[in-house]
Amino acid sequence: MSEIMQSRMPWFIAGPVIGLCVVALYALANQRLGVTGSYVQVARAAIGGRVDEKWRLWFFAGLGGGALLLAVLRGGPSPSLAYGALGILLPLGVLIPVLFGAGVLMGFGARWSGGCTSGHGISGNSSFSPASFVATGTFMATAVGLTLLLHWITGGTL
Amino acid sequence: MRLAPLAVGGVFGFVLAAANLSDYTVIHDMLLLREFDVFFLMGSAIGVAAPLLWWMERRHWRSMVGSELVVQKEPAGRSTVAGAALFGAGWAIAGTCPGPALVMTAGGSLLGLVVMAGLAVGATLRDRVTGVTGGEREGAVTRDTRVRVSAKREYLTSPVGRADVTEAS
Repeated sequence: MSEIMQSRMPWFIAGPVIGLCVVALYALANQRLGVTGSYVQVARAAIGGRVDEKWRLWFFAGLGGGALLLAVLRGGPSPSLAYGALGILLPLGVLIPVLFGAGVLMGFGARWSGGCTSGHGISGNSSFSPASFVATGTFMATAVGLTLLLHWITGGTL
Repeated sequence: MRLAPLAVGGVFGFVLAAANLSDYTVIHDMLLLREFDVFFLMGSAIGVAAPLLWWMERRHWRSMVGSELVVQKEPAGRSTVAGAALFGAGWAIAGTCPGPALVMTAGGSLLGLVVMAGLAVGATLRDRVTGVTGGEREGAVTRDTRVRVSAKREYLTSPVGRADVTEAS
C-alpha cells in the first residue's frame, strides 16, 4: 500500500479525477471549484469577520484533509524547511519574505483576475468562460516567461 | 451544504498531493518546459469536465441544493489580464499556487504556511481595494461588477433596503 502511495500518480489518472471534482461540485452544490476564494473566507473567519460563503470553509478543510491523508499514507507528514532549488539558492531569512511576497502577488492577482489555476485554469476553461481563456493564457505566459528569465539570470541554478 | 464541498475538497486535495503538484520541483520543471505532465493533467481535467458540464447545463440539471445548474461564465476585461499577470509572476517565484500551497503545508512544509499567509493577505487586500465586503462570489471584478456591488451596498444602507432586509429576516 505504502509503496503504491510513494509513486507519483500519473497525469492521465489525476487529471480526469480532478475534472470529475469540478463536475461533482457543480452537480451537488452548484458552485465553481476554485481555491483562492477559500483563503478570503478562512481569513475572515480567523479575524472574526463575516463568512458569506461557508461552503468554501468546508471545501478548504476537505482539501487539507485529503492532502493530510496522503501524507499519512506516505509515512508522514514530516516537518521540513526544504523548498527545492529556491531553498538551496536563498538563505531562510530571504526565502521567507520572498515566498510571502509571491503569495501576496498570487492572492491579489487571482482576486483581481477572478480566479487562479483551479478557478480559471480548470473550472473556468471547462465552462468555456472567455475570462478564463484570457486569464489562463496570461498567467501561463507570464509564469513560463519569468521562470525562463530567472533560469537565465541565475545561470541555470533556478 | 457541508458534506459535498468537504468530500470534493478531500478528493481534490488527495489527488493534488498524489500527483506531487505540491512539489516545487514538479511545478518548476513544468514552467521551465522541461516536463509536460502538469499541462497534460490540466488538459485532461478540462477534457473530462467540459463535455459533462455542457451536457448537464443542456438538460437543466438541478443540483442537490435545489437550484438549476448555472455554469459560470465571465467576460474578459483588463482586470482579467492584469490580475493574471501578477498571479503568473507569484506562481513562477513560489513554484506553487493556492491549492498546492495548502497541500504542501499539510504534508509538513513549514514554508508552505508562509505562502498561504501571503495568499490570504493578498486576496483580502484586493477585496479591500475594490470595496467588495461580501456577498460577491469570487469572480472577475470588472467595472460592471463594481457598479453592481456599489449599487447593492447603497441599496442595503438606504432606508428602503434596510426595511427590506428586516422584512426578509
